[in-house]
Amino acid sequence: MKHKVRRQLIFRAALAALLLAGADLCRKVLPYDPFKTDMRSAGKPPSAAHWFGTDNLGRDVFSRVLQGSQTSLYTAICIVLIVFLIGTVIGIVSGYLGGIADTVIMKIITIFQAFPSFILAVAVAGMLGPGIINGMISLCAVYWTTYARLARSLVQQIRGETYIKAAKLCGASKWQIMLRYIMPNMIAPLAVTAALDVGSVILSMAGLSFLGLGAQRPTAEWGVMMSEARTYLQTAPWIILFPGLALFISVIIFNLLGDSVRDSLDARTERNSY
Amino acid sequence: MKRKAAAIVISMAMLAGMSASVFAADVEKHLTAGATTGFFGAESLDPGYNWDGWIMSIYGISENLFRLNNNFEAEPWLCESYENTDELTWVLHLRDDVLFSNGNKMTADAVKKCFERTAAQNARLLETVYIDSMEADGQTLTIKTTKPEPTLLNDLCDPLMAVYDSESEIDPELGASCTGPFVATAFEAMAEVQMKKNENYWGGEPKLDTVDLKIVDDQDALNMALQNGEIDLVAQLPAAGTSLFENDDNFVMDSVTSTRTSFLMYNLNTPALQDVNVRNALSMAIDREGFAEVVFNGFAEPSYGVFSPALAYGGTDGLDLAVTKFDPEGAAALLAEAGYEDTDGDGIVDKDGENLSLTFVTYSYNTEFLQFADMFQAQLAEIGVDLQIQTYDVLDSTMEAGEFDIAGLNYAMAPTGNEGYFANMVFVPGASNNYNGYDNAKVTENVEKLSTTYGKEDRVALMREMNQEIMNDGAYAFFANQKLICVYNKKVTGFEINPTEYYLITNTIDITE
Amino acid sequence: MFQILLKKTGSFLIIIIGITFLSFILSYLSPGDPASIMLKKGGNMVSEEVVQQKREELGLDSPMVEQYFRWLKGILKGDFGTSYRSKKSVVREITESLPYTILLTVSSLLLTMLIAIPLGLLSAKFKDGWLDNALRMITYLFSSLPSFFVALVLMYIFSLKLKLLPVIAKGNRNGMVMPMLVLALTLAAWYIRQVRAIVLSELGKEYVEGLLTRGVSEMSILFRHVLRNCLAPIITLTGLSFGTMLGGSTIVESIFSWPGVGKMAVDAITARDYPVIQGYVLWMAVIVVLINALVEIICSLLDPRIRRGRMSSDEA
Repeated sequence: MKHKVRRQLIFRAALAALLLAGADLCRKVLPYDPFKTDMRSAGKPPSAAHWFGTDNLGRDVFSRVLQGSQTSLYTAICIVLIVFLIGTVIGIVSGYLGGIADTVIMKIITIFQAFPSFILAVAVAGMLGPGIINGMISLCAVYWTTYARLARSLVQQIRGETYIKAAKLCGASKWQIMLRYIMPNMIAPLAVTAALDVGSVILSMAGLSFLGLGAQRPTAEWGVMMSEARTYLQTAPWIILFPGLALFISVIIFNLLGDSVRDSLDARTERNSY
Repeated sequence: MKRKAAAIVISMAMLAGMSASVFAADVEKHLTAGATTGFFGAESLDPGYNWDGWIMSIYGISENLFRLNNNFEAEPWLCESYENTDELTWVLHLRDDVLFSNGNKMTADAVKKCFERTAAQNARLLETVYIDSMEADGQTLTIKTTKPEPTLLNDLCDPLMAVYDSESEIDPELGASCTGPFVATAFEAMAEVQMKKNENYWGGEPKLDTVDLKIVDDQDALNMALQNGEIDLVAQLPAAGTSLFENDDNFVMDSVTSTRTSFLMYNLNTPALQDVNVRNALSMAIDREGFAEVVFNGFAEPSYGVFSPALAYGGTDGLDLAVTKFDPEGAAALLAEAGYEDTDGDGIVDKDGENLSLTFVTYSYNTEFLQFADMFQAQLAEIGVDLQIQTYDVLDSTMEAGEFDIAGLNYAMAPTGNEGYFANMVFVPGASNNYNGYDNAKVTENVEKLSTTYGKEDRVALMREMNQEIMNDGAYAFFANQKLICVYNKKVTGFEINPTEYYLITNTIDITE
Repeated sequence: MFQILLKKTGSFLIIIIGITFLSFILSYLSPGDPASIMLKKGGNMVSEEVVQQKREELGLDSPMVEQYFRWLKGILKGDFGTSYRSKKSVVREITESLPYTILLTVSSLLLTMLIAIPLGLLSAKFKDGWLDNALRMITYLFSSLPSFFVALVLMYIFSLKLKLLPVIAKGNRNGMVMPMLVLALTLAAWYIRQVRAIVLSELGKEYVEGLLTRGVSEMSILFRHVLRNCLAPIITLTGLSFGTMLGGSTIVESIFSWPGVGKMAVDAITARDYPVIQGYVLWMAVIVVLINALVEIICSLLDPRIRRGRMSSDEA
């Protein structure tokens, strides 16, 4: 059973890595310029020359989907990394300092979490104005709280462990304890959260772009492409279908990966606890 | 037994009554039309408020003294005949058979009071019609203007000059009583309007009994709702939707070239754009045919002149043009002539160490313009010009601040057929929408002459002269004359599309099963 | 007991004040000058002096904290400002649209529970069986698809091809079916897995074993005992998903032209109608906070263990 979990994890991680590497590499071998319009070959169905067809302005959909993979995937990963760092640091500070600082930080987190997540994202993006950077900021505003809360509770939990107390007795400094004992034990659960979040961030970003609040045209980003292609759903379905498919596949890979990471961690903690 | 028989009789009678009422409901003729806020969205049903009069004329609620025909000429409507006794005096004889929807009679006095109320409410009125004084006598209204106004009849067609009963109280929801074929029965701003036929309508009984107007900003939803049979008519269909209905026998698509034109405005305060060669190079890099054919799906005409060919002074006839076709090589040559070349090899041409990088601003909600922006950016990249696209919901403040190099704009250039309208708004220095600092003495002179020239031919001649000046300066690139498109279910009859963006719902529209 | 209540109310108030502050900050930081947006709407020409006058009238030149307190004072009096777009008061805008959103979200939630609770239960019961596996596939599918895509596909099938359901939801008897389906399907995908996890952990408990040995039938255990004990976590889950649902309604309402607050917010964002956006965010947050408080109360009433826990902590 545990073996299966591990095999699954490796397989899914490889898939995700492949996706990311592909997104990066394919960009250099795009068959066409993803921004080059050609009015004379607009709205052509998939063919040997254009695998995914051409869009309403004659741009090659395949090239745009590939280009978009970079925008969509890397912005999502970027967001997750940012909130991971910010949230973790805030959580550690809160958990480690305790007292009034902890109370204030916890209240701030509670206030942020009082807002329904997508509504907060829509509001922040709407207030800041449309744009990919603003879209990223708005999603960061939503996602950081999970990490802060988790990091805080982990710090508190680990601090109470006997081996930390032992280390303290041995005269280890606060920083040493932090870096050597607490941090390494926090990484795994936080990483699970991060892995599980990538898919949901990709979806949220696409949602924002669909509402016109994320990336702006003519950026090749899946959400924007789908939003634009909506008009041609009936007459040229391939324009919306392929970015949609790409989005779906990526999200599913990251969701599967997230689950695998969690399962393998569960397996590990089970082993530890028994 | 008797009771049973009675029960049967009663239930039979009830059944008959029910089926009669069902039948009656079937006979009631109902039309549901849909459009986006831009075309259908009124904030109130008060013709004097903001631009709501415009929308009410579309709804078929309000009417004017004069009406524009398909050539943008003013024809008598609520007014029967008129005399222009001297340069400043107009005597209008109003129809004697017109009642407001509340049953009150439309008299000259009522019209006078109505114009006075609108003027007090809306500053635009006195900018549209230069009224000095009005005199009412029975059905005769005499208007004196403060200065000569050769276009008075056209200006009276502006829906702001709608005729309504200003003496009766104006309902906060259902608005003013007007003279049009339909009367509102329910009104929800920017969402939905329900109307029934005006029983007092003077121009022939409306064929429809009730009309429901839905304001839906999602054009794709509107199109699908029409395909689905939820609505019967979509007004001002964007070109992207036309392919859905083109080959479908269940729908009729009507289109007509309007005065709405898409054009670029070059900011003459931008150093690089002060060179006419650069401006013309940019204009040459516009694929007008491709744009009209693909983005507009053929529902626009490529334009190389100034005004739409729908107008007497429009089109390119007799104009000497610097740009006559999509010509990337010619554009590149012009740029080279202007001293631009790519010296640092970054793919962007430069001069005196400065890259030719320009900011393009346009509306964030105009899908055709957004596509144009993508297309233009790609085409300029080919000739080494970098274009930065910025879009705005409210473009005016950005343009007023001069924060643009090129602006993509879309205006109805002669909504009331008044020749000087657009020139007065855009070409004349200091005009409200002269955002690019354009100033040509000859153009200004002609615009001034227009305001005192009465003869139709003389006016057209002045316009043509002005058009040539505009073309020579190349400070604008007019590139597409848009068509107004309406599509409807084939069971709708009697619908007539007209190039003005007014009068949509009329008494002749009918629906057959 | 009284002390706990006081403390709860205190932290509740702090959260509400924090919410108002965050909502205020959002629009305070937003680019664009409200005075000129207000005046120049519809392409009207306004001079700089008039704009400046308006700025002073709105108090936009005063320091941030002062503006915040003035705004807060207005809010306490029920004045959330006026929409730039419709000139209606924000309160009216929201109260006109809110019933539609409540109707949509509540019925979607009910539908979600109707789908997810039995399926989650069965999925846990027959863990790793064919049903569990099939459900896992389906839930993966729906939780990996953007809701707007699901909406478009449903619209294409049910409205355009089958002509069963209307595209424009408002004013149509069947109008709510599709928006409800989209919200329920995307949420149920997540919900089923949560319910499954809750039930699985409950099934692992000792009393289940005990009941089994006493010869109580499996189905009876599942539906009578396990389900009852899972009620509290499921209600908590429902409370949490209400916020998710409200968020999801922005996209779904816009696609189906459903006249709720979500569509109102998206329209307001397009029109840069900041007072409406601000009012919307604030209202939604307060609603969610209230619902979570309600859920907490219900759970404590429902769950004897929590009740007892409270009491013992009281005594302590």
